[in-house]
Order: sequence, then structure tokens, then C-alpha cells
Amino acid sequence: MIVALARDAVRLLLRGRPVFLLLAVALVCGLFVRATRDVGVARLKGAVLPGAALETLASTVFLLAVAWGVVAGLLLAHEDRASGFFTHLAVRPVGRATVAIGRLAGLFLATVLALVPLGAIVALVAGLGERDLPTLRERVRPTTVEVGGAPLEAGAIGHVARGSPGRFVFAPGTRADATLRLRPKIPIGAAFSGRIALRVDYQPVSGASRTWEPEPFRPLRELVLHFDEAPGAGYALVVEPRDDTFVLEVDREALTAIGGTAPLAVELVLASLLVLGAGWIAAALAFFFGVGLSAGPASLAAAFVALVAMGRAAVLDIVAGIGATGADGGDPSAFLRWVRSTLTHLVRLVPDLARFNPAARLGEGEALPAADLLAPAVALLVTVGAVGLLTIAVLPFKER
Amino acid sequence: MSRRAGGADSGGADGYDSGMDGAPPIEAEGLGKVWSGPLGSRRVEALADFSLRVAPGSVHGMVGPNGSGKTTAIRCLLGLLRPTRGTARLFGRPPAAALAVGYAPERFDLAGKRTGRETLRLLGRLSGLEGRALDDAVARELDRLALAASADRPIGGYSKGMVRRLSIAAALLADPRLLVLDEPFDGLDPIGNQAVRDEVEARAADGVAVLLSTHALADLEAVATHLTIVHAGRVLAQGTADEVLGVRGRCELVVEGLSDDGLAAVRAAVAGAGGRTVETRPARESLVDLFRRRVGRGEEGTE
Repeated sequence: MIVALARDAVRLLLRGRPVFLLLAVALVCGLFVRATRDVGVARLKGAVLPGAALETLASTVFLLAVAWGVVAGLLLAHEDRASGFFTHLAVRPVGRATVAIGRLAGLFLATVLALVPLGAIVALVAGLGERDLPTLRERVRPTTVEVGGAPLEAGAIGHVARGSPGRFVFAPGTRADATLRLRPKIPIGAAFSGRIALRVDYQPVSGASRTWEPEPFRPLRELVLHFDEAPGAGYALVVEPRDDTFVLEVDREALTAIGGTAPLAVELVLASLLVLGAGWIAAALAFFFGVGLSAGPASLAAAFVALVAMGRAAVLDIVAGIGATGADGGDPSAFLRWVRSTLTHLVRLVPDLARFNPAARLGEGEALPAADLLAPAVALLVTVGAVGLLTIAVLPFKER
Repeated sequence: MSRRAGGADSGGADGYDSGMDGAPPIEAEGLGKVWSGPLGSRRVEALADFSLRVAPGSVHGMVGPNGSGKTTAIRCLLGLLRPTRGTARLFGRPPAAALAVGYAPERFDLAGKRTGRETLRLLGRLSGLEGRALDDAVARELDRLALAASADRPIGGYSKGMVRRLSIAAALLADPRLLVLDEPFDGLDPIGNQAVRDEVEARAADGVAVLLSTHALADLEAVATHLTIVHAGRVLAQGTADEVLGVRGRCELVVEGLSDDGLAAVRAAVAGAGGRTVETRPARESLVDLFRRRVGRGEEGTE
């Protein structure tokens, strides 16, 4: 019976129009990943955040899975109730637990069946696998790379170790958003902890240097350094391991900077499109699935996403000290910047929601517990909501 | 058509509880149902002092105007609604999901994405059928209800009559010992009506107890052995069809081959025996019979 109920759920959820709808969603998400993976986090001055296309892609697909699960659960529950399916169950020798397990199994199966091809399409569209993923911003390579004070020639490999830092020099006008590809090597006899601990020095040609020591993070991933500054003069980024347990193997292209900041208007339009897109996707889901609840849920879904984005913006802005410093006080463009900040946070909401590992890696001593809590909290709420919906779906076997 | 062996003495499909031996399929005493608004406001008495007993092999028809409480009574009898007063027992036990009941509700809105065959397979599986038994039962009911040619089309494309027949097929699937049909003739053409009537009569002949609620009085009259007339939630009349419909001191005489003189002689004979001829009219074929004869029994495509 459980198998029959699960297969029936898959049939109801995936047959017909949803296939085409999922294809459209996959294309939109792929373009989203492709376009936003390098859009900077505004307002987090001096913060160092990890990020990579793979992570963005994975978290986007994860979020889609959660969203799909909730929507599908809601639709399935609605379908079962509205169609009188429970009446048919009530006069047959099938228990509530069997129905609940069967429907949940079907929901998970349908989610997997829907998201595996969807994830593949997203990855394809997002350009995963390309060496340099297209971004809104231009990649700028360092003019000079030094390891341990000696220049690194093109094609040569250098080893950055404690006491032998890597120095990447960039030409004037290059925005200091950098991506560092890491290939750690473990020296013989060293007890590698499994984490990469670095110190990063930002050394402008003119002005004071600044140093960050991000929390240790896993190797084999890209480190994205966001500075939100566009120095007129040139600058250098100096990367040095904080312990002796590993060295970093680098070449001249290990560190690339992202030049040509996306104009505010572009970011604004992009974020606005995303807001509209979220509402459109929700409305389209409701329409194509024939949800008999008018436009209510679709509107609520879009409003929910926007509210979460605003909440995230508020939390991060407070943590980053914006507002408290009074830097924006009296600035006529403060509201515009607030709107931009909110919408930019919306852009970043998707990967953040799904990030279970410590989220924003600020400099050491600048942990961001609120952001760390946000993702699991939202995930928990969504999970509880989905279970609740299914419980509601299963309970009214009989009218009382 | 091959009917499943066992009939009234079988325990129904696997998974179905046969109930207590010898207990009537339906036995209800003093059922009442009151709908209340918030905080007890707007009390509506949908059913009052409703009693019913349905025996194996009988076809019990329930008639009444819209909103008279027929569907409420059925839902209370099946345990889908908790009655405010009274008790209902199926096969001697409180209504429970595991009893051998085939129920075709008034509304059958199962998703249009499923085909007819998929719907029957799902409901058959949930009734405890599996493997070859499930395949045979689905094929049998699709054939009996003239749905075989449409079996692999989504229900969304079915006509109202086809959906009604599918609903009845789903109720019959597991060979229940009690069949409860709510408005089974709604939306059916005369051929469909006849198919359902044939099925009801055949099941009853096998010992299955049938409870029918319908506004199709002519169809009901043709198959019902017992009748209950419900109005405003109360039973107005109840008994065998002859008891409820019979007119004391009257009978009908159907003759053929008589000339006018012969008819006059019959009238005179009736008068001579102390009776009175109330009405004499020429016999004619019913529209239903004409429809069946001319259109025939064919498989329904689309309507």
C-alpha cells in the first residue's frame, strides 16, 4: 500500500505540466547562478566571505529542493483533501500511518526525480566546469606575483608557506574583490588539521594596510575576498598561512581580482527581477498545478522571501556596524542604499539559506552568530512547515 | 461476465473484515446529527431519530428531497461522520475502515491526472487486492461498467457519466458484502443506468446488501426491495417496496390481444366481481426501452 501511495503521489506531482515548469525553473536558476555568483555582498566592509560557483549551485539546488518539497506537499495535501481521497481511504482497510508514510515517500521520490535533472540543467546553464565562469564583472589578473619575496614566472609553481607569503600585486583601479584558488600541500611530517588558516594583508599603494584572519576553512574550495573598496591606486594582497601544517601551491592565476563593479542600477534591476521572478514562479506553480486557493499562497510566498531578505539585511547591517556608525546619517541616498542593500541581500539569500557550515566568515573575533543561526533556523521552520502540512493532510480522515 | 465466486458467503477481498457472522450489514438505531456553529450557535438538526436495518441480499433505496439528510445518514452509517445521537453498526461492529464496504460517494473528484485504470488499481490496492487478483478485478469492473476503451485516458477527459461509472466500479472492485451508492444514477444515460441496475441486482442476488440513495425514482423503483423516505432529517416511511408503495385494494392487470369488445367484456367482469376499472390506456413502449433498443448497449467514448 505504501508503494502504491508513493507511486500515486509521484504521478500526481510530476505528470503533465510540471515537467515543463521545472525545465523553465531550471533555466531561470541556472541563469541566476551564472549571473550572481560573483555579485559582491555590499556593506560588509572588510569582511571575508567564502563563496564558489559550486557552493552557490549546490545551495541553490538545495533551496529549490526545500521549496519544491513544501510546494509539492501543499499541493498534494490540497489535492487529497479537495478530491475526497480521504473518504475513499476511510472506507478501506488502510491506516493513517500507512497513508502518511506513503505520501511522504512519494513526495521525497518526486523531489529527487524532479531535482536531479533540474540540478543538471542548472549546472549546465550556470557554466559549471568552465574554467572561468562568466560573471557580471571582469576578471583581472595580478600584474606581479611574488612568493617569499621572489617573482613567480609565468607557468611556474610556487609554494606559499608560513614565513614565505604570496604577494599578488594589482594595477590601479582594480576592485579589490578577489578569488583565491587553493591547492594545499601537506609537508612530510606535518599534522594537517584539515583546515586552512590564513592571514590576508591588504596593502594599498597609499593609505594604511589592513589585515584579516578569517576563520579556518576547508581546503579544495575557493576563497572569495570581498572588500567593497575600489582603490584608485594600485594595491597588493599578501596571503600567508597561519601555521606550518600546510603550504599553498599557487601559480600566477591562483589569485584573480574582480574588476569593474556592477553598477548599482544593474544590481538593482537584477534583484528586482529576482523578486518579480520569485513571485512569478510561485504564481506559475499555483496556476499550473491548479491550486484552488486563488492567488493567496503565491502572494504570500513572494512576500515571505522578501521579508526574509529584509530581515537578513537588517541583521547583517547591524552586525557590520552600519547605522551604528552614523556613516549614512543625513545622506539623501541612504534610503536608496538601504533598498540596494535589501535587494542585494535577496540575491545572496539563496546560497545563505542552505549553508549549514559557518556562514559568513568575518575576520577572527568577528563571528556572525546571527547569520550562522539563520540558515538552520529557516531550514528548521521550512521542515516543520512541510511536516505540518502533511500532518494536516493526513489527519482529516473523518469529519467530526 | 464472470462473477467472483463466493458471493454473500465470502469474506470479501483480502484485508477486508467480514464482521460478525449473522449480523446485519447495516443496523442503525436512533441516529441523530446536529451541526453547530461556533460556540454552539446556529444549530441545524440534519438527522433525527434515524433507524435503518439492511439485510443481506436486499436493495434498500433511500429517497428524499435535497437536503433531507440522506448523505448525512450514509456518512454516519459508514463512520465518516460521528453521529450526535444513536448508534450504527456494520456487520455487528462499529463502523471501521476495515469492514467490507464498497462506497461510491455522491462526488467523485479524484485527480484528473490519473487514468481510469490507475485510479482503480490504486483504490483496489488500498482495498487489499494485489497481484493477479487486482489485475483481474480492475479488468472485470472496467468491462462491466463499459469503461475498458477509456481505461487508459486521464479521468480529466471523462464525461460526467463515465466518472460516475468509474466511481461505482471502484466501489465494486473488492467484492464488498455491503454496497453503499450515493446518487449512482446521476449523470448516466439510460444504457449506463441499466448497467448499474443490472450490477446492483446481480450483486443483491449474490447476497450483497445494497443501500442506494438517489433522486432517480424510476430506476430505484425498478431495483429496490426496501425503501426509506426521508424528509427534513426524519424517516417518513420505511419498509419493503410493496409495503411503502402498495395501494390497498388496488391491483394492475396487463393484457394483450384484446379487441374493443373483449376489453368491454373484461370491464364488465371486473364490475361483476364488485371492482371498478379506474383507468384503461393503450400500452406503449417506455422511452427508456426504446432508447436501449435503438441505441443499444455500446461502449461509451466521449460525451
